[in-house]
Amino acid sequence: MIKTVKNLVIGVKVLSAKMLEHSALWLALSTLALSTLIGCDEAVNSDYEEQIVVSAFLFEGQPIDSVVLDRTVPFGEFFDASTTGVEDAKVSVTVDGKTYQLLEGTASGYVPGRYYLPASDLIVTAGKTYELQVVTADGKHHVKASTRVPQPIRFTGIIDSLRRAGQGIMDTVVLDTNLFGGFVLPITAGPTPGGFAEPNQKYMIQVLSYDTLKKINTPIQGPPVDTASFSRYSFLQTAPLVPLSARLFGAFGRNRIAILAVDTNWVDYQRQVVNGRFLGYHPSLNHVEGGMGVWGSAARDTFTIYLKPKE
Amino acid sequence: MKFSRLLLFLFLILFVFFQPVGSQAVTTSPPLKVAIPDSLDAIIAGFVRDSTSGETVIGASVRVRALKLGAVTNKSGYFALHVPSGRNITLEVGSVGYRSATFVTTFATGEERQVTFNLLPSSIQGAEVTVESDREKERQEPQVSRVSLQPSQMSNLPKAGEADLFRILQLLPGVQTASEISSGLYIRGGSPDQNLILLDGSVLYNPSHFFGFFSTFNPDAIKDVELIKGGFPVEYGGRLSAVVSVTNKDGDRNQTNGKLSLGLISSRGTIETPIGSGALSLSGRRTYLDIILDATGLAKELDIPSYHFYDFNGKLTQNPGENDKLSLSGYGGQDKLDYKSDKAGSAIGMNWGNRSGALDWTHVFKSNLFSKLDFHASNYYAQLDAGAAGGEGFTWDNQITDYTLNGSLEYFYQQHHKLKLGFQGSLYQFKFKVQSGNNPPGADLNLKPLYVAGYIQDEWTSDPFAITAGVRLDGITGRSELGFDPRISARYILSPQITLKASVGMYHQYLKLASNPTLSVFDVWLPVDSTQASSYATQYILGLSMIPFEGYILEIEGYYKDMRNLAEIRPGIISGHTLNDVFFLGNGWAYGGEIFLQRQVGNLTGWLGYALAWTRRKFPDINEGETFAPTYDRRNDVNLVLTYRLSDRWNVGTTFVYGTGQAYSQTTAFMQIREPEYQGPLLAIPGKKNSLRLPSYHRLDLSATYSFSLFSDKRNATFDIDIYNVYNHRNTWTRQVDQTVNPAQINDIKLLPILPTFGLQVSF
Repeated sequence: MIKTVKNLVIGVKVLSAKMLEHSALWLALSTLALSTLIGCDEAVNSDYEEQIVVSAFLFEGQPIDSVVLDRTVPFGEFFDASTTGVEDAKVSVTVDGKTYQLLEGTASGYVPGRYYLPASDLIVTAGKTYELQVVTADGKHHVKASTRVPQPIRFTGIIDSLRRAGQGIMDTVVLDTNLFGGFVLPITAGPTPGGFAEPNQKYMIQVLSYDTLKKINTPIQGPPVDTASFSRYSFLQTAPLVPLSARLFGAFGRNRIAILAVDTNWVDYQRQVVNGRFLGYHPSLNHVEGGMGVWGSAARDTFTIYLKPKE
Repeated sequence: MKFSRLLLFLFLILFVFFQPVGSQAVTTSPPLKVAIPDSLDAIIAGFVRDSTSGETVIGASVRVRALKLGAVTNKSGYFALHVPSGRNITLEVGSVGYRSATFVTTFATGEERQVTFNLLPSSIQGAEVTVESDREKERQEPQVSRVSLQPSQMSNLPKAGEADLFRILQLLPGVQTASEISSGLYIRGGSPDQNLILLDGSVLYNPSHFFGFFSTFNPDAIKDVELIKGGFPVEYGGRLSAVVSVTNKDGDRNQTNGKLSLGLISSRGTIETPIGSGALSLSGRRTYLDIILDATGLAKELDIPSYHFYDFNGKLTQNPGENDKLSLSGYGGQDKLDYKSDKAGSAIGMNWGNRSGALDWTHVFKSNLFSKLDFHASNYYAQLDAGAAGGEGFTWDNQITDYTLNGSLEYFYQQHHKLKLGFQGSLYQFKFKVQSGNNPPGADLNLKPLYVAGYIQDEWTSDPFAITAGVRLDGITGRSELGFDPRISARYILSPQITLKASVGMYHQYLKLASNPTLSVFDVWLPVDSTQASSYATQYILGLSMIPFEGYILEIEGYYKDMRNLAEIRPGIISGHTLNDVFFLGNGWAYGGEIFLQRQVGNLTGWLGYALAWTRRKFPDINEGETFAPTYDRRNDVNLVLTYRLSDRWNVGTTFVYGTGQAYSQTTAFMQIREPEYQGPLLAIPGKKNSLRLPSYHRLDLSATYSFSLFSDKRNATFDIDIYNVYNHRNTWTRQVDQTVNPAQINDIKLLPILPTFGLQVSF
């Protein structure tokens, strides 16, 4: 019996070896053909699903005056921001266990897709958590989000820095267009007296140029100009110590500088957008459940300077 | 996973304790029964060298055909072979690229003879030498998925402006590229950080120039290249996927000679000379686009940055005694980019490069006991200083330094057994600092982990079986875990023409790479820490090697690779203090098959490679937790590489590549975030990650090389013309959404058009 099995094994080996020897080319060719056939790609087309987009940025010490709801627009269709607003939705905010129903429109009138809460009803307070709930009129979309409002912040080093710039006049800064690189205003900010900063608090600096007709012809890439004709630059900071360079200013004239202590939602949104350019949508940075967008909050301080060219 | 590890370990235990020992096992192994004498009581050992240069030859075979005895030289060119005494035996020595040599001799009982075999190089490879050499390698080393390349195989291939090792490796089945402008190696579903890249044993951490377009290896300095696509032995560790080991020339021990190569992009030179009891080899290259642009005034007129790269290699080898060899080698390379605008007050300065140095000592204690001790220091750095004066600048400083001590012993304790054991100790230093203006640094890391590894391996070779089994233990400070990596490879000679191979093994990796998708220059290596565990993989490989026709070798392999704890960089990182801040953690797997038909003999040489592959990743935080294909997942990959020797003066070469298009994510919709006082940008929303494919990639390159005499009686010069992308097929690099038009459109970014280049090489 054992001998028979042994002979059988040897026979199979010899036979397979001979087959392989003589059919090596055919084996290779048929493997190639077979694998090419089974190796065809299956392109999975991504199906479009409409999503509700939340644009809401709460400010410490301010009312909730703008919660905007939009619909996404499929790729290939004309994008018209005036037609994407989501009307007739039920929008509410819950804080300290109490729920507030938002009104459609703004304090000055009806605007499709915008919702607000009168200042008399609620003022946003630092350290509190605000929860958003949205249900669309057709009941298809249920959106939830939550934000914890950062502690107040204020500028602490404006005067010194402007003095260091040697301009003499506190609210007027001269920019030498022949030496953009030499223009730097270090500015510091910190908690309000008696206040504190949350651990790992992130900050954002914004420069808003109002007089965009007085455009600075900077050789360095400047800030983007949006449809409201404001030139604006935003970037995230790990500390409220801000060097303001010429690059941040889009125009001479009035420029508003803001420091913001921003919550995680706003930080994660900003991580996807740099200098007005969208770097890429990352689901892991989206904190709106059942939808997209931002339900963020910040504490903010601002000051305005007048920027003029060197004569 | 634990079960497979346990199974593998049990297999190893069985192998170690229940294997047949000694020559007796050979005589009982059908069907290749050979008359082997009872006692192999003598030993012949030594080095195989190139007779003209004195260089040691790696992978040369030394065999006694009548007795089916054989050995293959190791990376130091050393072999040891047990032989019978008291009778005439005929030793045949051969290697690819050399004429075979035959020696008849007799050994006394218990004799240990030290020899040096010198082989004569051959320009045309004889079929018999190649086939026999390859057969002997297969008999002696059951290593799967290994490809060796010699400089002679690379010299006549199309170069696309600059001969490049990694671009040639990309032509092998199972080796893929991110794009034709990237020299990164994606091997069997593994990303480039999963490859162990060694230059004379020193690890290189970012082996590329010109933003990843070229690799750092100077082709004129290379002696041997070994690529192991998977299933690599226990002497290698710390990576999941593959090993690329480049050995540079020791230098000519007999006479001074050199070589100059002039190309469109760069020029390079090599000089080799005998010195003391050994040789010295020096080589270097530099690009000169910056010099040309400066000299012509174009740099200023066009207001473009100044850029160049250079690298140099040096190796000094000495033999202080018959049994000792000392080797001191070094590599240095740097890319440098500078841009200054006085009016803008801005400046950008970028420097990045690799530096490495090694001191190797090989010592032959006895004929059958070979040792190697080597110390390596390797450093990769990338520095960026951008911005303007007055503290508004942005600085990036990234460095990884590695001091490694390796020791190994090879003990040829019986004809059929070779024991290999060794250790590795690596002290790393990771420095990473990113600072904007006078702000506190966004990242400021200075980590000094210590990596320690030990391994033991036994190679048992007895026709028709051969098994290599070993285990590697390793670990790194900062993470309380021990990597236990059992690995086993086996081969079975089914017939003189057909060999079966298999390999199973585990692999740990303790370094992770935060890979910058735009520029590999900004890749950052980080060690595992308390927040994220090491990556590990299990590889299963099954292969068949055959000689279908005289002069051809056909290899068919299938593989499955399971990878755990892989890292993908988190988007938009603004500060990171732990590994968890930087990476998402997930798993991956890859499987596929490869066909490699190679011809190494005669006037027509080259290969046809085909790979069929699937690569997948699954991360809880990416693609909503669903499985996705990485961009380099490529279903079909075909490479045809041919060189033909038309005459004594003319050589022509061609490469044709075809590959499935890369995976990419399609934009499915747009949204707009209405920021306070600001309309906000239009945001594109991608669909499922990498769910679509770019068009298939294909390209044909041609080259012609003409040999002639230049200021010499010898034919010492070659002139080559290359045509890249002969039929001018503009392959798609990437697909972008153009949002400047409404509705938005898709634009394809195309790769290089037809590109003729030329070069001149002169030897002296």
